[in-house]
Amino acid sequence: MLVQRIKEHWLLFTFEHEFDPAQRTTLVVDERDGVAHRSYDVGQITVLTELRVMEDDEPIPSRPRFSRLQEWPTLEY
Amino acid sequence: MRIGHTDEVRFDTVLTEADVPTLRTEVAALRLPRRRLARGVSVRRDGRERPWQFQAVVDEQDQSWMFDRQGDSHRDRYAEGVLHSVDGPSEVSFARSGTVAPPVRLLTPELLLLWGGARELLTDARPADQGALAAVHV
Repeated sequence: MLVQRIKEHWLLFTFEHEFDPAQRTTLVVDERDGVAHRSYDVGQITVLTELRVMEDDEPIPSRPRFSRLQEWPTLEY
Repeated sequence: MRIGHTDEVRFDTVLTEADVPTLRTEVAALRLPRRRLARGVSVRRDGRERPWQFQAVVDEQDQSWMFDRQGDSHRDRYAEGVLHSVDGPSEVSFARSGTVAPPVRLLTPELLLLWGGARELLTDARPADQGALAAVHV
């Protein structure tokens, strides 16, 4: 396991696979909110494009109608 | 920010399983246990499926979440110790409940099954749950 800091507040956590150290998973955690904004594992890449704290009285959002993805989101570190 | 500032956890150094408990606790401590809304996108690296978008609400205070995935006709939910998925309701711990909706776990990265301490989560043991909860409130 390896922890690196890049661009002030991004923490990169890299994990070796238990049975094959060559297989890596990397999490990109924002140290300001403790949330992994990106995950790169062997089979899947997942990124957050929006994140916010909800108000106490804010209702759960309805099921969104997902629009066609125009382009893969970029993250500015 | 404590990560990198303690003797146990060092940047740019290969860490071992012995460092895991401290690191998990420190990751959890970065975050206030609030209710958060997240949206994002996920894709398989092998290119065998289109990227799919998702929306998630995770509430660490009452240990609940909901998850909408593009292309699914149902909403996965977890509340009061019960997971409601397409397979019907089932009782499971908060720590283990994210299996059907992996992006939910990005909001509590210390609960991801990456840490090698995954075994304790997989056994669904209550002590692991309470440990995770305690870490959130550090």
